[in-house]
Amino acid sequence: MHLALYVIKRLLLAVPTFFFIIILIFVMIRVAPGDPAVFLAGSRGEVDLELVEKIRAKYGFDRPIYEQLVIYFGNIFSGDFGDSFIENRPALIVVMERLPATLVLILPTLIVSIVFGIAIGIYVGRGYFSKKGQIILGVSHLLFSTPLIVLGPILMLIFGIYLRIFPTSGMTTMYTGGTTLVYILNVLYHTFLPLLTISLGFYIPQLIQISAATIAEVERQDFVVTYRAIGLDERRLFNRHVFKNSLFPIVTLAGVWISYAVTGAVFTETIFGWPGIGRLMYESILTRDYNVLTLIFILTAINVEVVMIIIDVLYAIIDPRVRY
Amino acid sequence: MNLNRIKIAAIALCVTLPLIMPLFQLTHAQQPRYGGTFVRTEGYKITSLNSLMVPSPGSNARACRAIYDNLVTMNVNFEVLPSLAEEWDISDDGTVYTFKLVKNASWHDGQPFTAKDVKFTYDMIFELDDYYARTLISLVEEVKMIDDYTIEMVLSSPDATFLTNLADLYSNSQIILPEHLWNGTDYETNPHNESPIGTGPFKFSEWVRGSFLTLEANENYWRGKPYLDTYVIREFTDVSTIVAALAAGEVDHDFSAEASVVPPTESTRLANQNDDLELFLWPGTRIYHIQFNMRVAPFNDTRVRQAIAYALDRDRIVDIVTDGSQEASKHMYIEDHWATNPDVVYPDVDLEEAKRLLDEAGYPEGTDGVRMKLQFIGVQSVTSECELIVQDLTKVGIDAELIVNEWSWYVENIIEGVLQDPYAFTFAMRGGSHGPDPGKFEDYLGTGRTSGNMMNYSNADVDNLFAMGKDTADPEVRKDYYYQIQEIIYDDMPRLNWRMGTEYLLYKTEWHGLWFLNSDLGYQDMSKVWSEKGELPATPWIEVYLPYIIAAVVIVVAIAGIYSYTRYRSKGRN
Repeated sequence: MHLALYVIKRLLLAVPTFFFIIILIFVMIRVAPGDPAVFLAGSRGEVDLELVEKIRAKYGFDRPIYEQLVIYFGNIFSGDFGDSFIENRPALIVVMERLPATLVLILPTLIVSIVFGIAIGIYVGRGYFSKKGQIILGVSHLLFSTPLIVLGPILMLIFGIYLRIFPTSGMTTMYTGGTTLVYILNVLYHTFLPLLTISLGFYIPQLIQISAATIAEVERQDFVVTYRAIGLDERRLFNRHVFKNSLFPIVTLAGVWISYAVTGAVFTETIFGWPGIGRLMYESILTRDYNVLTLIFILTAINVEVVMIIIDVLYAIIDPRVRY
Repeated sequence: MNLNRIKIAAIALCVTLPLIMPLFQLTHAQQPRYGGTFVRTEGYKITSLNSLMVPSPGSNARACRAIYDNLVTMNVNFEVLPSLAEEWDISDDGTVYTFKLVKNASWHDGQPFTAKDVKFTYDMIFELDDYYARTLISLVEEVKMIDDYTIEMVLSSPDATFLTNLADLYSNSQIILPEHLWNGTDYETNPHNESPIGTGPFKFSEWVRGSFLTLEANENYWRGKPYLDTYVIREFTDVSTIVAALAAGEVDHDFSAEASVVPPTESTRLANQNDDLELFLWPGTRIYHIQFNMRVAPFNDTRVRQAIAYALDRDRIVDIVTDGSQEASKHMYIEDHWATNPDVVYPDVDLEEAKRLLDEAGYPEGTDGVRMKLQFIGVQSVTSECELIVQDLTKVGIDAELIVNEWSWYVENIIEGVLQDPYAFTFAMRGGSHGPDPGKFEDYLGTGRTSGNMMNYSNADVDNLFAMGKDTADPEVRKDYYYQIQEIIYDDMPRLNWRMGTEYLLYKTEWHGLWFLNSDLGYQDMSKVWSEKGELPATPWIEVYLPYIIAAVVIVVAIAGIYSYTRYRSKGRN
């Protein structure tokens, strides 16, 4: 079947998927108990329920779901994702404002994780059944099974509180401005602990596991044994044949990570007070800021879907059997 | 000089120096130093820098305290202090307030502050009829500008809570806005909602949403330039992040108001473990209390309610959960408040009396020792106490199941729920601010005040007393009314006070001039805060060297005196 046809089919399939996802997200969020009115009313709302009712009526929280849904859909097509009730600004601006912060954290994290994870994984993979390899795998399993909400505070305690060499939270402490270079350095200084947490606790162990297993498996394939037998030197063997064949699962994994990396760092961002989208999601849940929450979920869904499409198409290009 | 004289001179020095040393102390100690950045934690998101229109969450109110001034303010003891209104007159019938404004205040953009700004602000509040700012001063009919520095406010009837409301401790909705920047603009979209211009001690510098708000000192502040250079409010989402920042010494002050974000045991632990952190406990106005649903059994019977009061070992439980830093409520109203009746106190724990009352009310012990099965609705911030309460109740045969959910659930299912279904709850823990003016207590006891009075308590005498208390401004007369109210509710026992929602204010010891340590300062007034690590102001050399000069003079005189005395003595012998 023709590649182009496959791609078009794939894209068309995405459209109804999106519709369904948006409806699902919208309804789920609003059907859950509680609404922003109580939070908006604040401490006065504690003894003044009329105020809470007024706020509810003003924003239309008490109108039936389908009505709200129709209005929301109508607005989306003109690019209006509603206003954040809490901040009284367009939800799109609220979310986009926080996006750079998350990217500043996630991109270096991914780069560092991929570099170190694959490097260590290769090292382990080549000596998979050696003691060293097994120990490293054991430690990486331990790190992966430790939840981020435990690992984060542990690292914070060691480096931030006892040793006091890294800040415990926040993205920057340059309160009164300064040169751009100093600002960048300051931000990097603040990324260290959250980066370490996510890398050690999530990405690196998985990369080690996968790359080690894949490399160990490829090394045992017939063609590798053959190449070795005819005397091809190890380095060339590795770089040209083993490594490239092992990349496939790693690339898939990394691709998926990039797609939900944006909201995947909720725990870390909250613990380390990082002003990114993950933390925004957490705050929006607490305050029932529907529009912002819906927008974040939609963005994530779009992200994931786009990456899935790319991966599907890549597979189809590489392996003709896949095109259905 | 011979040896003798030298010895004598030395002795003279030793005698005089200790008398002079205190002079050195006097000039150098406790003199405010300039400079420094003060970082405060903020546990709630700041959503707007205009607390007149958006006072909630409390973070907005707190941020605006540094940028804007009100007509009056309030100190840590809930006394009204002058602010932009330096003095005021109240007419005999209590309906006309004449405020004389300060003449040297100016806005951050340089324009002078005048009565025009006050008149405009209150016209704006009247316009925004629906907003909280208006409901807070609902009895005000008219605001007149008498001259450039005099404002007159006319009320429809006397209101003893009026000045307290103008200070607006928690919502800060009565800030004065600059007329020249707000008049004729669309209030919602005015850029000064996000880059405010006020008369306060600190000017807006930068706001990075979700991270921090930077304010810099207002050199032309009408009360005098603040000692600080910069005041930063750092936003946090998570309690553990705040605790970590405090433990690592990254912030200077933790003030999580209105139900502290950091639990009491954590604050006490931090203060104990860190030498450079101090703790100040401010009782505030929040009272945690248990409300009994008087609509249905068993709490429709006074004896059952009283039995609970006898059954709970409140002192023991509060001691456990606050690590000994707090005590359970003894009185019917805010502890140490002028309106609290000192003679009306809750009884001590007495399990026998509790059991007797329950028997009398018709709830005898069953064969399994259980008299009744109930549900106790708790509040998230005091979950551990609620668990201990439930435990205590088993001792008198009450099997209570604890149900704790978040506040929005509570509002929907308990506060609003009981209006639909009288069985929605039997008894529940509740928090809430009860002051600073005792008139606010009516929110919790008044007939028909269903938001604060979930108990369905209705006592015409109490309602009358509250009405009378509001009508007069004479504190002695008011006190008498509130004392009576407390006697009545002791007999009726519609609710049981648990403990004050005390604020745990942590601060680094290097800081002086904090508002809660000085009753001359208004609420959250940061203008007099200074750090021991700052720089002394440039003092004239005479002030700095005076003690040295005095010391030198005294020593010279002493030596000369002794010298001549010895010479006189030796001469005399000749």
